[in-house]
Amino acid sequence: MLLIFPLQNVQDLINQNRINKFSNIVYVSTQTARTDGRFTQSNIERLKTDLMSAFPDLSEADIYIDVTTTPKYRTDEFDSREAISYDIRIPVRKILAAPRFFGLTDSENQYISRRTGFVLSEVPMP
Amino acid sequence: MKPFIVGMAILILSLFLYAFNSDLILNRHANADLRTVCEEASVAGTMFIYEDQYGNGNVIFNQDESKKAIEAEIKSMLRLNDDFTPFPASYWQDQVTYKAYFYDDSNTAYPYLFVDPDTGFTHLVKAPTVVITVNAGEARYSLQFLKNGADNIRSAAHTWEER
Repeated sequence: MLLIFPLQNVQDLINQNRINKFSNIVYVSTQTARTDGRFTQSNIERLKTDLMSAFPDLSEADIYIDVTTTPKYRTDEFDSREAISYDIRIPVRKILAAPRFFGLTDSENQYISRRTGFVLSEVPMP
Repeated sequence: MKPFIVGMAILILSLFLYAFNSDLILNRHANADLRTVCEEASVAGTMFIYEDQYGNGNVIFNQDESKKAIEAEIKSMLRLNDDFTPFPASYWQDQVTYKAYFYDDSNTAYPYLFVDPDTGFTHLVKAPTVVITVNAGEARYSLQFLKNGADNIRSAAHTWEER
């Protein structure tokens, strides 16, 4: 029973590393969107590719992406309608290192990691 | 009896260590996120300048608009209500406060060494810059004796650059 604790500590570190990697990939994508004025299709495709190569257990269907794809512009006054918003989620599949010990199934032993927010466009208003 | 008592003692100690380690990992991540929030907020703060002054060769921040953007960015990323109290889904539990420092052509002789009075964060201001310091309050620690720790405060600066 005491073995659970070191195993769980290791699992927590693995999960945290996964979330950090996820945050970094999303960060790069949002900064690209800032300079493009929106999330372009190529940016979204690259985001999916980066996530799937960083996390081999992910398929395209596991990745939830809801981002601004219409052009947004830099304005003289703050206007939330000109913000480029993003909501990106991936599953973290293993919360507990020994789920069977607590009677949990694989589907119960996971949660969704989510990055959400907005960036302001740097593209000047035409 | 002795093995049972020792076993229970080790179990309780392991629980304490696990609780601390788990909370520490969460806090470390939330603290790193807080730095990202400061970076994004400082970027948002540099986005608004007075166009008429820019036409005269001066970069002067429109602080009213900048503050609107900074506050919106902080509230969005930290999941806060309009009064800066956290939503239940947020990691943070205290009311969040922030400070914005604007250095531009109207009030700064470059170079200027900025030293944050709250964090000790230093930044050599060589061009118009916005510095944001966010105080997100105490971390979530489940062990009673670790509560009332130091506040989580992070700073970041962003310099206005001509594109």
